[in-house]
Amino acid sequence: MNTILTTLAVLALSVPAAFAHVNFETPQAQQGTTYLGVLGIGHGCAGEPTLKVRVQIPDGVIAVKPVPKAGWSVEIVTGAYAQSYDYYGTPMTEGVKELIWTGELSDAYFDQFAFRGKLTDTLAVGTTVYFPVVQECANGADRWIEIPADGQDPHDLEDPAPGLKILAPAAKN
Amino acid sequence: MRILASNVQGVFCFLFMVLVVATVPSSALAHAEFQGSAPVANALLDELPTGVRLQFSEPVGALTLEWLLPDGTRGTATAKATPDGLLLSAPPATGRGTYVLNWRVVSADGHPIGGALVFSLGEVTGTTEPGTDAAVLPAIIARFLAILSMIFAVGAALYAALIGPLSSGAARFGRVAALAAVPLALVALGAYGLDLLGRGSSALFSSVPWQVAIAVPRGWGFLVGAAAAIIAGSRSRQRPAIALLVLVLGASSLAVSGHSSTGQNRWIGQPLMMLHAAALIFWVGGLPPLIASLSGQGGLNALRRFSNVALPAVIVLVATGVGLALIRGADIATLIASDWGKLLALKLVLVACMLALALLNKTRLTPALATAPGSARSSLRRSISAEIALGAMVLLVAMCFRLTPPPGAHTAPDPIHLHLHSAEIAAEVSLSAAPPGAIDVSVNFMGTNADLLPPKEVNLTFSDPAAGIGPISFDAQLLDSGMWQIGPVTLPTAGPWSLNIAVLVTDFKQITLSGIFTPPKRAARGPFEFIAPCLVIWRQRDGHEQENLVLKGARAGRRDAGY
Repeated sequence: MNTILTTLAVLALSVPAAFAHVNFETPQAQQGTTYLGVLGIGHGCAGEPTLKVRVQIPDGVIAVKPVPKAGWSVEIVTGAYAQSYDYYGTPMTEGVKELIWTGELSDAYFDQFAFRGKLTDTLAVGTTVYFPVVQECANGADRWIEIPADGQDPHDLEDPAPGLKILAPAAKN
Repeated sequence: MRILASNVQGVFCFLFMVLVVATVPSSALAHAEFQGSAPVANALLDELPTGVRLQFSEPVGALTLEWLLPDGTRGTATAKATPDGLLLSAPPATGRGTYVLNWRVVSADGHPIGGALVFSLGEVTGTTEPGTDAAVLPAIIARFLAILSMIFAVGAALYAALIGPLSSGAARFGRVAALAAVPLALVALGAYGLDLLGRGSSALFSSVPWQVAIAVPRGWGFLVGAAAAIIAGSRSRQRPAIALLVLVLGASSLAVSGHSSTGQNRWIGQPLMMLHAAALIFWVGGLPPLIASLSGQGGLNALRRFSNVALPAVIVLVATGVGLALIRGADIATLIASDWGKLLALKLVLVACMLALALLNKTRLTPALATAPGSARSSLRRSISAEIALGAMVLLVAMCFRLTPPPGAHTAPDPIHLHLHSAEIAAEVSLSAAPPGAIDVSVNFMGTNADLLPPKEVNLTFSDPAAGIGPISFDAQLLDSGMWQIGPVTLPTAGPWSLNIAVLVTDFKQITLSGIFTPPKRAARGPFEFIAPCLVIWRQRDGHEQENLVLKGARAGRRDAGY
């Protein structure tokens, strides 16, 4: 009985809040791995269809490539990284800073937008790295760009940016 | 085995619950968004709408629907759900003025959203807050008692220094007054904070009224007065230097708090008020020790000495009083017509009675004390007691000037200026007037980083958490001058209002500036003005947060001087 109550309480407190926002399907990954980021867009801007999805790639995530999407064109914005990263022996000083998908997604539908990138070891274990997303519609934009300050509960934010928690790398045997 | 069985049962229960939750359709789990209303926000209507429609992006359920009506009452609204929002019955007809509908609804994902719809019928008034004036009377009485105890404590010290030794009874009275002055000053400070905010006594347990009260001259005037009383009550009070010090402290505590402490004539008004207060303290505060000394041996002597000092004191009192009335600069006709003038007349009548009694004491009763000590002593006692009572009444009347603005104080509303900043961007916010009312807000951004300027979008959100109003959100328009503007927006209460400015500086970066503006309650009424205390908390949502930077919002002084 206690288990039921505890489970209910835990679920009641934790689950519903996360659904409405733009989120990663897998919100955590190990440091040093190549991560497949899948962002879910659950609704348009106040009922209007989504026409553009823009994702900002944070520093420390390199070698980013978008997954092409039928019916959508994808544009890659590159720029200089804040520092030079080692990518399997090759120094990388510039790369993808932003991904822009253009197409149309009705408010009634859900869709996913995917990319992959390497999580360098400059992303500290235990921290959360944020990928601000702008969802543009004919009537304006929904900006999922709020990043919680230290100690702030991300649930308190109106429009939080999707976050990816960096886990410790797997132990080498 | 049984333990194992119950654990297995528990695991199954857990799995079952996970399954249930996982199958809840996720399409329904989006936030509802407010899309508009009829009547529209800030509308000025000729007649009350027959119904109110709130429109959302999806069906919502009502959590709270509450009317704040022009007459200060509150009422609940009933609503019918429609596919695109809520349909509310007409607001209770309570005449012309500003109507506020506080709404809070929940969408299918369980996420509540709230806001306020403000519109006005006929004219924009702002809702009057019930209970606002309930805070006035306690504030006046608390201030009266605090000042009276200070006057008695300081008066006893002055008497000891200038007139003669205190009888043991008078010394005890002085000490009690000094001890009472401290708690009374604290009570008065809290009551004054509540009065400034127009809040009920329950707000005393929060820090806001205290912060507001201590930030203005009258607030720390209470503490200066308490300090004067404590020093006066200490043992070393017979020394003239100490007596002078407490007189100066006591008089300043009164001078910083009156109408004379501001306005364009304050450099004349404040010294005049200080002399006025010093004379009052000596006169009224010296009377209790004088009564006590009558029963002793040196009664006649003490009377003569007191009278010698009291005469110049009374002259100073009257002269400074006339001076203070003159620099107000109101003509007699408006003075007589105003409530302020009536209070002044009442005060003058009381002072005239005091002067008459003083004259009686000096010319008739004092000589009689030499010839017929017994009967004259009791007459004198009665007469001086009446003088003390009249003095206290004069003080009480002076406190009541709080209730009514002096003539000439009804000037145009003063703008409020706020300065909010984060590490990268600063905002100068100007509000065309203090709330309540319809207010234009303009924001000018400055910053060190040219990449962030000008901002792409600016959104202002107001809420009055104490009254439960808001958030009321507006997108600002960029003017050709580079200024961002909204307005007029109706802020229906005097506040304190919290203001959040969301500044979109790049497509992916938003900086939020936050501040609380606390216009003094009486800014709407007229006579009080000072640098409005603004507790400004700033917060930046790009990963850094800093708080508790206290800045000041400057309020322009009104044309206003002493009474």
